[in-house]
Amino acid sequence: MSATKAAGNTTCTYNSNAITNYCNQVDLQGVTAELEATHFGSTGEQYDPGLSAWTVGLGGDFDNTLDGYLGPDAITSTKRTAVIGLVNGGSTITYTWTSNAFITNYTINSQASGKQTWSAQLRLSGIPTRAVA
Amino acid sequence: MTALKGTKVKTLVGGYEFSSQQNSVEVQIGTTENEITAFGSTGQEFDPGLVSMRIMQKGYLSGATAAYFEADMASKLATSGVTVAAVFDTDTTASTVYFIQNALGAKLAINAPVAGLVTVDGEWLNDTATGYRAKRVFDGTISGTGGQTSIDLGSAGSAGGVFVLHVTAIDGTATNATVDIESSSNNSTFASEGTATFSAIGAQVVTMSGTVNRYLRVNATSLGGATSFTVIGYAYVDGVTVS
Repeated sequence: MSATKAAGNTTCTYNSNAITNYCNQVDLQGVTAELEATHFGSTGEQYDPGLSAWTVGLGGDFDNTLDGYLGPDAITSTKRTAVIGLVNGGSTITYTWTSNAFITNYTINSQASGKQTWSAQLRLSGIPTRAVA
Repeated sequence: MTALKGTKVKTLVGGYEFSSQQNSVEVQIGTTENEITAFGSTGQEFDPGLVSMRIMQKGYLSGATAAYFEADMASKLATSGVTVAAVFDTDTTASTVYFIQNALGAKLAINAPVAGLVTVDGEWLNDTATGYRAKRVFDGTISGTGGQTSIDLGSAGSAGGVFVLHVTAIDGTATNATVDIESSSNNSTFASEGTATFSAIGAQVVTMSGTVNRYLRVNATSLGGATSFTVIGYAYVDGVTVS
């Protein structure tokens, strides 16, 4: 079983802008609501799946161009299309939200003895379109 | 992509630039989420809610007068009305600025560990209007009248905006010194979009209305009798610096 390096195999597109080279972190998370169905006859806790909720955390080194893609939308809270891509061997896995991604937390940080960085949390409404090409 | 040194930032509160006293700045833009999941949904669905902006500044206890961050923050805690800004990537012309026009002094924390330095942390929050994203137009000392080098926003706006001029130092005495914010469509013929008038250090806020052309510059039209003054000016143009 081989593992896939993140560098060179992870892509991120926001509002048709390729922001891959501005990112050094991508955390995609889909969490399913757990509907507890435990009853008196249960021998253990029982659950049924509810709906899933998706977020993606992004981050990297601050850049004026990157800020031009995310900063205005963070202030106007506009819904956009977001695509996360993962390359494995000859296949590219993509998760796409079409006009259903909005920025919920955009942060720019600078430490005097460090570097200027950015991070953003995107709320992804609905389920993604997962494709393999 | 190049990593930008953390020292290439400036922090402004009204007429004070606290860059030499501070070692950390963070701008946070948050949006609430409104769940709109319905019976027909296949996944949880959300719409964006309301936006807020916070600017956090951290640094050292460097002095006791109003020119120092601890005194300034203490005086403005639980009040609003001062313009607070963070300027990033200061080596780049027309660099990005995030500012809160009527900032609320939300938090002051002073820490004094026995084996370390006394540190001062402050937090600002927008009051009624959200914060803004702007581009730096000028940053330096003006010692004569005339237009300064322009910046290019890339496109014109049609719904006005805001120009802020932080006057951080005056050499001599200024009485009603005036600095215009001007725009041009061809980077040759400029027209005034508004005037900042001042006689002391502080932040001057100028409202721009209607069309604001893509090239912006500041033009000191009167020194008011001063030998020179040091200013940082930036402009938010609706539909351009914020879509």
